[in-house]
Amino acid sequence: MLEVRQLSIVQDGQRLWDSVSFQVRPGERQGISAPSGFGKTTLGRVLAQWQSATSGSVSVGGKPLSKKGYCPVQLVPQHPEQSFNPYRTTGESLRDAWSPDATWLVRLAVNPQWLARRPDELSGGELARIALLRALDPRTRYLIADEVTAQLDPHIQAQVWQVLLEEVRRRELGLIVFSHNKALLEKVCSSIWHPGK
Amino acid sequence: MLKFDRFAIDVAHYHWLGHKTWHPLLSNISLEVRPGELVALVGSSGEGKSLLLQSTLGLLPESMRCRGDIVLDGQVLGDAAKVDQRGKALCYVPQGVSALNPLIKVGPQLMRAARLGGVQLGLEDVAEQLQRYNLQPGLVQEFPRTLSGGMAKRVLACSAALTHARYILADEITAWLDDEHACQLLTHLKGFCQQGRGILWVTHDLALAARFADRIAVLHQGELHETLSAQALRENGGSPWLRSLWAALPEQQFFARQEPEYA
Repeated sequence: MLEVRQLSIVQDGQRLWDSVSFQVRPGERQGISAPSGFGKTTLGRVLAQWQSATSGSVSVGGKPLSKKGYCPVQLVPQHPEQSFNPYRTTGESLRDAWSPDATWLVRLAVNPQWLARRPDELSGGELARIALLRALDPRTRYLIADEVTAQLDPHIQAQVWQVLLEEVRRRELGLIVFSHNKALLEKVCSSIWHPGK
Repeated sequence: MLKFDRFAIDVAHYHWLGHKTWHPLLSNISLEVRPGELVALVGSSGEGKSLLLQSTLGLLPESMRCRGDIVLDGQVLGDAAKVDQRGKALCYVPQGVSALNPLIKVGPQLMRAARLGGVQLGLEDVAEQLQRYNLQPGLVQEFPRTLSGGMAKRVLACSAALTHARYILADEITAWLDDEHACQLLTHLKGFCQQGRGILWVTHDLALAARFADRIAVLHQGELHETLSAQALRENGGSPWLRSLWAALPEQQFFARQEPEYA
C-alpha cells in the first residue's frame, strides 16, 4: 500500500499542499482532479522521489521510500520532451530502466524506429508513449500518470488506457491519475479526489 | 488570407556516402485560414501537424524540406519572408513549454516577445494582459520554472496575443488546461477572430474543436483528408475515420472498439 502521511509541500514561498494524507492500495485507480496551477505535478514529483517534501512521509508497504535504487513509485511526466536526455537516443534512455520486448512496443503503439532517434526528432505524442513504456518497468508497483494522454489522438489515447488498465489488473499496479479531462477520469478511475473542494 | 497551396513536407533519409533520399511526410495540403476564422487542425499523433505550423515560419529542421506555396494575403512567402514575418504578421504558439527562456522572468520575457513583434509594452501592461488569462499579475516577477504546465501554456498564448499578428498558429494550446480555463482561453481567441485575426489551431480535443472552431481540417495518412464545418461534426457528419476518432473520445464510447475486462 502506498501511504502518504501529513505531507506538506512549500515551494517558492507558496504552500501548495498542507498536511495531506491518503492511501492507494495495489490495483486501485485513484484519480486526482484539481485546477491548473494547484500543485498536482509537484505532488507527483514528491511521491516519485524526484524532489523532497517539506514535511511528512511517503511509504510503500510500511517502509519509507529510499532515494537509492529503483523507486517502486514511478512518475510519467507531463512534458516527456524534458525527461529524456537530448544527446542520447530514446532507446538508450529506455533501456536504462528495462528492455521491453516487441509485444510491448505493439501494445503501446510504439514504432521500433523511434527508439533509434533522439528526442527532438520525435513528436510530443510519440515521446509520451515511450515515457509511459519506460515507467511500466516490471519493478514498478505504483504508477503516477500526469496528463499522459493529453498529447495523444483519441484512438491511441483509448489504446494506451486499455493497456494501463490491463496492467493494473494483471500485476496489481496502483495507479494515480492526474488529468483535467473529467470524462476520462470517470471512465478510468475507481475513485476521484477533488482536493481544494 | 493565409493559404497553403499544394503544400508538402519531405523528410530526408540518409544513406552511405552522404546520399540522401526524400520521403514524403505530408503531401498536397491545400488549406485556407481566412481573417476572423478559427480553423482546427486534427489528426493522429506524429502526422506532421506541428511541422506544418513550424514550416510556415521557416522553423523546419535541416533534415526536412517543404514544397508548394504558403500565400499570405496574396503574396507567396519565400524563405526570407517567413523569417521576417515571425511575430509580425504570423505568430506561433509552440507545443512544448520549454519554449520559454528559463533565465528570463516572465514579465521581461513577454515584453521582449512583444518588442520583437514591434509592440512596445511596459511591465504593468504585461501584468494587466496576464490577468485576462486568469493569471496573477505578480507572475511577471517569477521565473518560468515556477509555472505549472497549464500556466506556462497560458503565458505562451499571452505572448502571441501581445503582438499585432494577423494570423496565430496555436499548437495544442489547451493541452494541460482544465475545462474551465480551456473554454476561457478559447473564448478569448474567438474574440481575436472577431477583431479580424485568423487562427490555425492544432488539437487532439475534438470535443472542444466542435464547440469553438469554425472549420475543422482533418489530416490523415499524410494528406488533407477532409475539411468540414464544426456544425457538421456536431451533427454526426464527416468521414468514417473522423467518426471513429470522435467515438474514441472519453466523453463518447472510449473503449468501444475493444472492451477490456477490468473491474
